[in-house]
Amino acid sequence: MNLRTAAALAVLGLALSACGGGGGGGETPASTGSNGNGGLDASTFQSVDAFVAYLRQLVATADDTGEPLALPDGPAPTSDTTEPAA
Amino acid sequence: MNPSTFRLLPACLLALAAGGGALAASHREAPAITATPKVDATDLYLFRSYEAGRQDYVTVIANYQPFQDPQGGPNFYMFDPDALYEIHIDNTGDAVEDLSFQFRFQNTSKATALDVGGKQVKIPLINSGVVNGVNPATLNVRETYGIEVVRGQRRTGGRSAVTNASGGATQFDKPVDNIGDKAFGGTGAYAAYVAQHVYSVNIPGCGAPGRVFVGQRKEGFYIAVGKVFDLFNLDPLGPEVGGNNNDLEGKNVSTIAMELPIACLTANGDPVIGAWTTASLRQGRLLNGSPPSGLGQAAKNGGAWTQVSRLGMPLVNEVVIGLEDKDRFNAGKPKDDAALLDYVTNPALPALIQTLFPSAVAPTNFPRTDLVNVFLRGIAGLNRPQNVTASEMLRLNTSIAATAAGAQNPLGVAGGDNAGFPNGRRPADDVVDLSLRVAMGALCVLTGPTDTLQVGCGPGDAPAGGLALTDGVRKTAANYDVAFPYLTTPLPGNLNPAAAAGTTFP
Repeated sequence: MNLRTAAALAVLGLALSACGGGGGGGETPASTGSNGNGGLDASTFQSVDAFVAYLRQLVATADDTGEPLALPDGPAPTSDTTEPAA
Repeated sequence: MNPSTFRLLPACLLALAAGGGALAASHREAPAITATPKVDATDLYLFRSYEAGRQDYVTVIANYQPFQDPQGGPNFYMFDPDALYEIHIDNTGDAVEDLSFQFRFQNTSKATALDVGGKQVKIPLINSGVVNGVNPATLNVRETYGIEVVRGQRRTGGRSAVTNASGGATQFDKPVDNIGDKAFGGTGAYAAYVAQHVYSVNIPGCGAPGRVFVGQRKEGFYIAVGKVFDLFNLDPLGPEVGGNNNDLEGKNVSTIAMELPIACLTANGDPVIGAWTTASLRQGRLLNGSPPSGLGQAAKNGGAWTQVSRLGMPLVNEVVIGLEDKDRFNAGKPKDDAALLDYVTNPALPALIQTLFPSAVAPTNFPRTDLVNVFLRGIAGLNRPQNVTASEMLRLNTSIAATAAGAQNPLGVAGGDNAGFPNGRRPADDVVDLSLRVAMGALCVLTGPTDTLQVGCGPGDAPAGGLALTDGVRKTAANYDVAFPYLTTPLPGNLNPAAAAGTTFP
């Protein structure tokens, strides 16, 4: 499954505001999304930067035929002290 | 311009409204916020408390979730547990928050189930019987919240929990919305139920306790908003009282109210404070295609808090900011307001009125220093900080004593009542009429030929500035409570009002 297909399997609501500032350090490359079993790779939830990087790639795709990926257990990573990623 | 000529003006106002958003204080005012009503700030009030014995306090009320029909069950209007609601205070005039009160909400299900044919089956409602007391067994979904006070920058400043003055708890129960009279044991029972959810709180760094209430209230804002949308289908020079009905009379709203010691809010001997409210969501949201059983499982939200709603002075993002920049304004910070300055110095509304109706002459002073002063700096001698950075927020001079409810003038300063708008804002202040008049140059007229208000213009600059523009709806303090949280008991879900005249139901 290529990146574009995998990313498009998820449904997303993302607001990337232009408020400036980084997400708390250098951003890591996005995961491929799928873990190969119809689920989202857990690495996507390892950090805010990984999460945002994945969402960035996801919103650049569109898939009208796929199913959403199952989400990993546990909460998505959050930050109460950083500004939104540009 | 004579009054008959001026009656043409509403059509122009409406043409603007159609392209620029609703003339409601901040209800669904920007394109993006219409998709997330739980975080849509509708009104902000800021005033010296006029409840007897509370003269040393300021009340600040931030309302959210517009146009609530009382019948909106079974979930009604809980706050968003994935959002951050904030009230910010700038007490140094630098357009940066010095104090922020942050509210986070949580919903907890009791998973109430009934034995149905030998199986335990969860009920589809948020209550299973009559609700009274705090978090009774009959309340299937408990909504709680915590409050933190942040001193300094809102994300990185030092933070500490606001605690219940009785027992020290850091979590507070929000009363469930007014489901209906039967759900609380009879007519009037809801008020008694809610009264148990007004908390005396200790705020770290404050020498005296404050009070907090979060819950549903009857919508306090008033306006003939439908007529405004309908090409301003009313007489703007008609009766100021009783000329039209309040279109929001049948609505409720969700309130975050705090009563705070004045000494806790002011700094450096300056009695003027500025306030605004914001709501933020996590930057990213992944919807869950197959959520498990339970509350809050439909999506996962991650990333930094991302501001999506902002409100200080009423009506700014509605009729001042251009449509293309309304979402930008909602995401912005006061310190960055210079980027939108043209909307204030060279406002579109009066210019369009004059274009469409040349006899309705707009103010001729550019930049519109009168608007800069009232919206961005505060009026000298009234509510301008000792050192001020131009920025949009609601400013209150806390050294001006409150006016007792029975003596308040809904026209505030323009009516000789300096304890009212634009020196803060009280529930009854008629910000619709006042904003219409200010847009057409009322301050230029009020300041007189010697510019006593120091707003940088005079009566000659505003030919229409002396007109008593109105939407025909007016309330007074008598329409509200005279004690915290001032906004009144919400309409019950069982209201079942008669059909409006001219409508037919099966």
